[in-house]
Amino acid sequence: MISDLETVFGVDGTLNISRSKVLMVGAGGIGCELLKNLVLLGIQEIHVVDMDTIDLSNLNRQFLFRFKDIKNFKSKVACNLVEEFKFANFATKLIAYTENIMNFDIFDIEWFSQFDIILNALDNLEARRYINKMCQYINKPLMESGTSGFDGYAMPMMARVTECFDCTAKETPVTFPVCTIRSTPSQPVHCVVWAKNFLFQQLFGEIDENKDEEKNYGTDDEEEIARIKSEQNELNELVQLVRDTNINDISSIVEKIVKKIFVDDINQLLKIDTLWKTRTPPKAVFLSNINFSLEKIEPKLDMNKNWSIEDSIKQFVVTAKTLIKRQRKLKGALLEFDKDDIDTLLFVATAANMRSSIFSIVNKTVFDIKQIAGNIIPAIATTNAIIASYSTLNALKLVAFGNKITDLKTAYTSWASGTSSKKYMGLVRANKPNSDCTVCSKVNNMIVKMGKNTTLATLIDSLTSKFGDAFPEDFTILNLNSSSIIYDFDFEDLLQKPLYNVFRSNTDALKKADFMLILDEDTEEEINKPLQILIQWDKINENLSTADFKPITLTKYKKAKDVETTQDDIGETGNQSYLSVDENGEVVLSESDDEEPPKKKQKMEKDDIESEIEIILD
Amino acid sequence: MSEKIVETQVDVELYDRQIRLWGLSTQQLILNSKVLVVNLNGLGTEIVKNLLLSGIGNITVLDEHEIEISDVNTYYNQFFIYNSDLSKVDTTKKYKRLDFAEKNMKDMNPRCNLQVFTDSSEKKLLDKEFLKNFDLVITTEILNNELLSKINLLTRDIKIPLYICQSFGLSSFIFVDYIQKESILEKPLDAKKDTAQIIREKEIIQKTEFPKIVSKNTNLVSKQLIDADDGTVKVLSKFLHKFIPFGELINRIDENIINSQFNKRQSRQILENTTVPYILNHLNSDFYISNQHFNKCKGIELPAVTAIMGAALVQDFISSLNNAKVLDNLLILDAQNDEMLILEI
Repeated sequence: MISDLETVFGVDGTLNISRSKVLMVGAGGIGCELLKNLVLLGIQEIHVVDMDTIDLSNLNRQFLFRFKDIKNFKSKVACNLVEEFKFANFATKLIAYTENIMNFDIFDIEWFSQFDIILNALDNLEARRYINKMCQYINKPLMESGTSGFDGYAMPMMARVTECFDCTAKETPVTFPVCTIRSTPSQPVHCVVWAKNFLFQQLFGEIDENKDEEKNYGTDDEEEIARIKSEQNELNELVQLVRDTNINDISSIVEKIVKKIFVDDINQLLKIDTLWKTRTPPKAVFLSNINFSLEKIEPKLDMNKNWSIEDSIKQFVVTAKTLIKRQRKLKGALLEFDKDDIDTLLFVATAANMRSSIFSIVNKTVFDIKQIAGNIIPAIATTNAIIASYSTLNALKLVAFGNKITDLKTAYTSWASGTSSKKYMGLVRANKPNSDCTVCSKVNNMIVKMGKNTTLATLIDSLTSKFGDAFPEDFTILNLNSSSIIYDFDFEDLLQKPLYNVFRSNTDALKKADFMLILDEDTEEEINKPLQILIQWDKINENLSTADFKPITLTKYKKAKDVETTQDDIGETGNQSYLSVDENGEVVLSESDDEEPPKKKQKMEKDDIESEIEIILD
Repeated sequence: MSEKIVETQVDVELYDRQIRLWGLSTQQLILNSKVLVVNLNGLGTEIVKNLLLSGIGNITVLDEHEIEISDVNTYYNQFFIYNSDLSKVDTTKKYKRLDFAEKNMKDMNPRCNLQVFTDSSEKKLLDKEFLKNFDLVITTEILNNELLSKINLLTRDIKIPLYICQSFGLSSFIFVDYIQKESILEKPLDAKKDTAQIIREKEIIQKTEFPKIVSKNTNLVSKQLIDADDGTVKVLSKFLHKFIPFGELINRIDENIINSQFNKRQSRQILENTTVPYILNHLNSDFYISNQHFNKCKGIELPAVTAIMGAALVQDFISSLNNAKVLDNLLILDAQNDEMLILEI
């Protein structure tokens, strides 16, 4: 035992620390700091989940990584290095995972339940929401955190005791109408989004299967919509060329791409007079000056400077060739845009700048475009360290001092954020759960264990027999993963079908947790809150056909008040949580580096020294 | 000595994130800074880590402390000492912290010019010519106020900023002496509106040096503050109750002021509320005898607590290079209550 730890936390407190088991989601900026703290303090067992690999630009803050570790898995490298810091408790067990935390086949609800505390060190909203939802089912404290530049927050949460991550609205990513991106860009960001989400995605990525009819074009101009559609069809022909390994003349393919994208499409656009009455008409590039046989550029261009249009075109030609060759080597697999993959970044940056020039929009440096395309919120070592340590201290208080979750406070960087001149960190007591929150309060949450052969009919039978009268007579069941109805009073086709086939028909996609929602459609005034079921597929007994669960109390609410909103609300939550942001043809910037703090609550905005003191003294 | 320049692609890519926050010119200043860090216990380790990550060009570490390999208590809270290195050496021999830490510090940023000294730190710290080699001095693990006062007099004499950092278990503080510093104060134009609208005001920070505060005869709350009628004392004394036993505070502040600030019930609670009493009282050794727990925690540099302070300190140094707002001039962490306050003394 470490005598310092015993002095501070007491003998029992120190013992409790050395017996606790925690989950750390994310081994990036906050994760490295968290892991170091937890190991130095002698936590018994730490599971670290991160599917990312290490990149050069991580090394200025993710201090467990070195140059030699680039391209290796963050979770593995981090756990390997902190093995060296195991002094406080030499028995500390470190387990690294390199899979996506949302892979429910690996990280199922029983797996989540083994931990005393869950610490988030995540960089994206989707995973945060997912973990938050899991925590609604396991009743374990969740330490949520995030930083963005000098700003950051560390927020302790507990299902049904404090507010959950989804109790407050989060800023949604910026979206642009299709026509702005495809026909009438006016800002550099429009061209970057076009280059990344349309051009790159179409040529090298997964082809957008959304039906054109479902798209939000942001315009009623039929001529323009027709043009966008035909542009699409012609592009598909180019995609075939790019992927056809029998065509060896890559230079000619690049020439065709440039001709189509930067000349023909622009000339087509020019024909739609209505678009250019109030806007500067675009000017197609001149093909005659372009050397398509160019293979490389010497010396390399400076990514921190603005390039001439000629340089951008040269770089585009060279990079497009590199990407075509790279994709052919992948043999059917697809390229993904990654801001840290120099070829994909250069392709997007040069294409965006060529388009900007065509539309008389200012050019941006590759460095700037990296920021726009990656939607990077810069993260720095110092803020990460402070936030990770506040998270650590909160976890310690629960474990070593036996504090209640309600004793803990959310801490945020009030001084750096300019909301206080005297308090370096602002503190906010946890709010109660938001009674309108569709993740934690407006639903009844339940886990049902079933097998591959469990049918919808079996599930309904077990629910009605266990809940008896409390279960509605009339109800609708939704598959939240696809936001589709799988059962209602006049749709019983799926009753005899195993639910496994209903939920898991898509074999390629990430196997996230499967959720279904049962909506009470009874005509009584007081009806059940929607019953949200997390499905735990039985792994051992493959052919299980039963549905097992611990019955919960189905809480009710007065229908009269919410009658018009309930179903829509729930449906929408399903959308937010599970459907990709690219739905409806809207182009979205959604990645981020180390996640931005959620909108600051009103309470946080006041530097309320006086009232804070009153609370403590009274 | 020639200036180092951030120019290579690797530099820009490596420091990509932070350059976006404070710009290339500040990154350039960081690269050319020469920093002296005294002692490499918990706090020193965190400070050096953040300095290395930020891309500081020159770091010198003084540490004469020995560790005892058989006793993890002598090194449990630092991460530049690796247990695989300890297992390779003869455990009966004596080793210094830096014998193991130097290699691992270098490994974290091989481009940093790192120098270490394991001979008497005190002698070096009192050598004006030695201190002249640096742009900044950071002391950790030194609890001897008399020595700190002498060091501060020297750094004032040669006009280099000084950070004094101490830790007491769940409590810790950073004292900053910029001597004289121009800093940009950012005030929201309208507190209710968008924070993007701010007025930037230049402010000259010129504060008292360490010796005045530690001397036994100096009042904790200076005479000027007590006499000020702008309400400063009100705010300050309300904060201070968390950090010094109120008996002492009250003895030092005129009774009339206390009575005017707090009602009877509050005054009583103030007297009884000795929570994690504090730092400022430590500065005068007569005081902290009154609190056993605090006394026991003296000098304990606890993980997480040291990480917060180490990060705040290095960020403050970077902000000072960037002419952004800086700590003015005492930062106190009371991790028991999560409080982290900036006090002006």
